[in-house]
Amino acid sequence: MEIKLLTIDQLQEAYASGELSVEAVVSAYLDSITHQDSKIGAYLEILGDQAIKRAEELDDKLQKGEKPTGLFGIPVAIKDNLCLLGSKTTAASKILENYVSPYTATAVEKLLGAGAVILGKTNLDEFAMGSSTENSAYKPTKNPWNLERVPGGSSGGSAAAVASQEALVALGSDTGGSIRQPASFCGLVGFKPTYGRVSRYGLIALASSLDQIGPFARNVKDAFKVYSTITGPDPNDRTTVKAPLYDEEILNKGFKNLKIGMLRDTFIEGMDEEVTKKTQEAIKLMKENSAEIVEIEVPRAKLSLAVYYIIVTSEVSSNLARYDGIRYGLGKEFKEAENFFDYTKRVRAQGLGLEAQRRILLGTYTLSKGYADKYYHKAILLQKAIAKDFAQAFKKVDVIFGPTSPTVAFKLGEKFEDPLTMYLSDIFTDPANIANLPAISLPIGFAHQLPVGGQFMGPRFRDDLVFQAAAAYENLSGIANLSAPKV
Amino acid sequence: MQLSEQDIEHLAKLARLNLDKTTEQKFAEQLSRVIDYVEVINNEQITDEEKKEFGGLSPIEFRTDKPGESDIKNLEKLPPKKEGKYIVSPPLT
Repeated sequence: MEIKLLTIDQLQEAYASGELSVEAVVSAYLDSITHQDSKIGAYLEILGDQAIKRAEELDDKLQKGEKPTGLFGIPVAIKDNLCLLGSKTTAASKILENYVSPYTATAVEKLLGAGAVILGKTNLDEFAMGSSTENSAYKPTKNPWNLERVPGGSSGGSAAAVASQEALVALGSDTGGSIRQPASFCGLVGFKPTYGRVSRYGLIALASSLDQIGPFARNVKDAFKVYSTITGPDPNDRTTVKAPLYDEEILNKGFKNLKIGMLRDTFIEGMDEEVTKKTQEAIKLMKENSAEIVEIEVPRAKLSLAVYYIIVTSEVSSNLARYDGIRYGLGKEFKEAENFFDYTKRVRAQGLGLEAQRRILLGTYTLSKGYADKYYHKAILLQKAIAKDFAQAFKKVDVIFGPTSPTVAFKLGEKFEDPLTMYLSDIFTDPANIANLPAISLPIGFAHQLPVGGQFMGPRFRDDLVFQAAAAYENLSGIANLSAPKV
Repeated sequence: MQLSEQDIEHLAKLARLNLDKTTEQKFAEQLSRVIDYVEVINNEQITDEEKKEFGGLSPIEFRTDKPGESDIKNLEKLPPKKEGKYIVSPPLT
C-alpha cells in the first residue's frame, strides 16, 4: 500500500481497520521530507519529534476504541505566518527570526482539535507578499513538477509540500490569490473562503481586510474536510460570522441547478496560449455534459488589480509599523544608533526585505496627505463598486469560471526584479478578495508539462456553491490526486 | 517619473526605513511604474448617486473592553533585551 497516495477517507478507513497506525503514516511523510526537502525547500521548520509523539498519542486512542473522524491522524503542513504555541513563526522575515508564538492561531487550534498532526511550518514570500515564494528571507521554494520553476506564492511552501507528498493537506493564507495561484502552479486544489468564514486570529497580518486562511489538498473532498474543520465564528476575530456548515453531500450534486458564468473578457492579452486552450477545453467539457454556461459582464472587475495594490500597500504600511525590533523579533545591537527612531530605522532596513520595504513605501504614499483621496479613498469606493457589479452578475449565474493564472509556473528569477510584472500574475485571483467572494482553484490539465488551474468564484457566503461546482468538474474530468514526480 | 528619489527619501523617513542611495534610486523607478499602472482608477468616475449608496468608509464599531485574566508568561520571553520586568529600548531623544 502506497501510504502517501491515500486520501483522508482512505487513511481513516485504514486506521479504523487496524491496517495502518498513525505513527506509520506520519513516519512515511517525515521520510518523504527527509529525502526530498533539501531540493524543494517547502519547509522552514520541521516538527518531527512533536509529530511522532502526537501520532503515538493518537494510536493510543485508536487502541482504546476511538473512531477516526474529522482530521484524526491526518498529516498537515502549516504556513509559517500562522502561530503555533512554542514554535517559531517567522512569516519568512528576518525581523521575526527569533519570534516564538506565545499562542496558537484559531484555525490551527481547530486542526489540532480535530486530530490533525502538524508536520512543520512552510515557506512563504515574506509576510505573504509575493507570487513566487522568492521573497522569503530564508530560501526560495522550488516547484516539485520542475525544480527550475517557482511554486507560486505566497503560500508556495504549503503548495510544494502537498504536491511532493511531504504533507497530505496544508493551510495557506490568501490575500490576493496566495492559495489559488500556487495551487494552480502545483496541480492542487486550493480554496479561499468568503472573508469572515475563517478566523484570522493568530495569522500574521498582511492586509487585515482581505486576508483569509484556507486549505490545499490533492482533491476537492479533502479540501472541503479541512475547510469544514477551520470555518466558524471566533470571539477573537470580530470579522468572523455565524454561517451554516455544509453537508459533504453537496459534493455529489454535480452541475444540477448550477448556472455557470464566464466573463466576456476572460482571455486577456499576453495570456499563455496553452493556458487559454486548456480553459476553453474545460468549458467545452462542462457544456458537453449539460452544464449551462452563459456569458456575463462584470464591468469594473478589470480595475481589481489596481484597487488591490492600493488597499494592500496602504494596510501593509500600517500593519508593519509595529515591527521595531524592541518588543520581539530581531533584537540586533546598533551601537551607533543615536536614539529610538534611529534604531528603528536601522533595524527595519535590515530586518525587512525589499518587497516589504517597497510596499511600505507605496502604502505610505497612498495614505499620505494630499494623496489619500486620489488613491486610498478612491480605491475603497471602487472596491464597493466592484462588489456591487459582482452581486449583479450573481443574480444571473451561480458561479463564475475562468483561469486561475494567465501562465503556468514561471522560471525562478524570471519576474523577481520587475515588481509590476509579478503583480500582474494575480490578475484573475484578486477580484475574489476585492469583492469578498469564495473562490477555488483546481487542476484542469497540463501545458508545457506543468499543471494548469481553473477557478470557480461564487457569491459572498455561498462557499457551498463553489465546492459543488469544483467537485462536479473534478468528477467529470477525472483530474484529481495529482502528485509531482519524486525528486 | 511619478516618484523622485527625494520623494522616496521623504517616504522612507515617514516609514522609518534607512535606505541607501542605490536603493532609493531603484525604488523610485520601480514604484513609479506601479503608480503609473494603478492610476487607471482615476479614469473611472463614480456617480454621486453611487457614492451615496456606498456611504464612504464603513463606520468602525468597537467592542466594549472587558478586562479578563491574561497569561503573559510567554510574552515576557519575547523581548530581545530586558532588565528585570522592563523592556530595554534606546533613549527616545
